[in-house]
Amino acid sequence: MVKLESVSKMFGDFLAVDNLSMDVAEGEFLTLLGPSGCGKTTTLRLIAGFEQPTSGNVYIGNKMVNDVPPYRRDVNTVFQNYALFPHLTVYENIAFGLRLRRLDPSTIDERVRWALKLVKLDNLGERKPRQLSGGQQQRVALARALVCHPKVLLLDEPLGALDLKMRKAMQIELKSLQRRLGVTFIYVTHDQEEALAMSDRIAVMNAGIVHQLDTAAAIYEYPKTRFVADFIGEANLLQARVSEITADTVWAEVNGHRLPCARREGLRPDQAIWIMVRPENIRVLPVSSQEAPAPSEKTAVVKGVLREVVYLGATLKAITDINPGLTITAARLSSSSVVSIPTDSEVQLHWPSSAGHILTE
Amino acid sequence: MSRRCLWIYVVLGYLFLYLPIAVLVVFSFNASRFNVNWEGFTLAWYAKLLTNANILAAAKNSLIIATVTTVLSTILGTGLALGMHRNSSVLGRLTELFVYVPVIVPETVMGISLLAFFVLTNIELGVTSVIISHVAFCAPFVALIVQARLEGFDDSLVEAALDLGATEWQALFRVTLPIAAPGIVAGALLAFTMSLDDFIVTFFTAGPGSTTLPLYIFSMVKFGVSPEINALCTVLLVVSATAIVAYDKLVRIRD
Ligand SMILES: Nc1ncnc2c1ncn2[C@@H]1O[C@H](COP(=O)(O)OP(=O)(O)OP(=O)(O)O)[C@@H](O)[C@H]1O
Ligand SMILES: [Mg+2]
Repeated sequence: MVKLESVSKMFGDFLAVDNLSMDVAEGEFLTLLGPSGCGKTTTLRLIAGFEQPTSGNVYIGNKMVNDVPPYRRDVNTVFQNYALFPHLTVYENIAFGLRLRRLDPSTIDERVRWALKLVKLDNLGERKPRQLSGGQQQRVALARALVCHPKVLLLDEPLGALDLKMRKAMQIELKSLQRRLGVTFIYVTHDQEEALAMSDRIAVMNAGIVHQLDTAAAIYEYPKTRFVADFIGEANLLQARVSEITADTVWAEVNGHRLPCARREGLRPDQAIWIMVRPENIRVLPVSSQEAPAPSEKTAVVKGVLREVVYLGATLKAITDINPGLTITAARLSSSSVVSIPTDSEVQLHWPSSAGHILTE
Repeated sequence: MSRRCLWIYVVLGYLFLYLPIAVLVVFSFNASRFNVNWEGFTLAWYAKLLTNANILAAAKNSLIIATVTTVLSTILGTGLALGMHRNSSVLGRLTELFVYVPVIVPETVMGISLLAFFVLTNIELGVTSVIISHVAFCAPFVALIVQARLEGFDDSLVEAALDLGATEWQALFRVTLPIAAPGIVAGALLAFTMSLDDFIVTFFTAGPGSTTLPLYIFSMVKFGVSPEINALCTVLLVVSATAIVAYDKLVRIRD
């Protein structure tokens, strides 16, 4: 539906988007996720037509649109600050795009009412934008874009200005709306939870580069780069070296510990790598514990000193020093036995080798 | 300073500013031919204005000049303001500087230079030359007022309009101009009063048959201030004051 082909965008000599390629399927919910200034808004503006690519091509519905002005592109945008027209009522804001298409008045009225209903603002049509709450303004912006029946809707941090509760509620509403209407959504956020909760696929960006474009689960479980591993969720990243490659395990050496990791193609002995282990995959037991499994191809085990247990509500974080300069964090349910281990006592950490994910960049 | 002193100070200040005007207005209703003592209320001087062919001709000139000036300087000034708003490059800032110049230049200098310009370009002095001159000093004021109105204008509104299918022109007429409208109307009102009241620039650039009210009043005053002049000035005062009050209201409008 939308395709970017090696698109780059320079502002002066600053490279805001670097050789970006992606292909968004019809009806897909794709999220651009990344820290502030990584080029998310610029990418959306390239698709909407407010910026021209310095090099590369933009396609919408199989048509190359590099030279097509924004008003002739079949996409609509929900702006970060909503950009509602202050001099028009809610009704007229929503009717704006339809009036430009010179539809007959009864069709316009019908479609505006449909849109108002869609975003549950039936009674507020006569208000001016400044008489609305942030959440209501956000809905008007959404209705104004959707009433044009775009093939693609671009949303730039549409929930950024809302409080947490409102945000969560709108996330669910937006997602179900998108499913119901079958519109392709390209959604920008820097909130990873939001991205994980809503998207079919996520493009994780940093400094103008897409590090990984994949489903939420794939990005969380099999990040391609350290940046992705670190940006999405929490991760223990251990600098390591490949010491031995067997049939279904890669043995890695971390600060003198030999740890089994999930098998991965394309590695050679002695290669510098990183191992990523998610905190929730790590169990913490007292050194003397009988339950502790023996180290094997299937299980990684390391000893350390429990430094701190941080209570986070449903879960808690156990921070353990392995060697000087090497700390591993485990996340357990608050009901787990970790609470009974005194701090500064010796513990052993273990995780299944399949939870040790190897990164090379 | 005590509160009492402050009040006296304020009252004296206002007296100084408004007493001459008040005297003028009061005497325009005075039955006496002379501005010395009060001999009863009359509207006779106002009635007399309407029978004086010279005054009516001057009033007609003034209204034509003020109206055409208002239209032209509003269009020109608004265009300048839009250009300055959209363009923050060197060119844009240079334009801004040039817009300020006519505002700062003394009116006498402006009048003489315009006169020299008309002589040089062989433009005959008359209603046209006065209109050109008035536009020259009114348009910058309109530009500055509209620009102030556009100061907080959110450019993403134009992008939103383009996004919804508006061409650049449609975005201009449906979004930018309606939002700037209070500033544009305020600028127009100011241009109208400035043109209507202007003496100095008009004095230099008017020709035979293009006498305006201020010029006519000046020529009458040579023979002493008559109650007729008081009446005429009161009319001008009311028109200008109304325009300025409206202007002030418009400039304060938000959204
Ligand atoms: N018109 C411009 N001129 C120069 N630099 C620009 C321009 N627009 C964006 N940039 C730069 O390009 C980079 C990417 O900007 P962009 O707005 O795409 O970031 P973003 O990912 O949307 O960030 P945020 O989450 O803060 O909105 C930034 O470093 C920004 O300073
Ligand atoms: Mg942004």
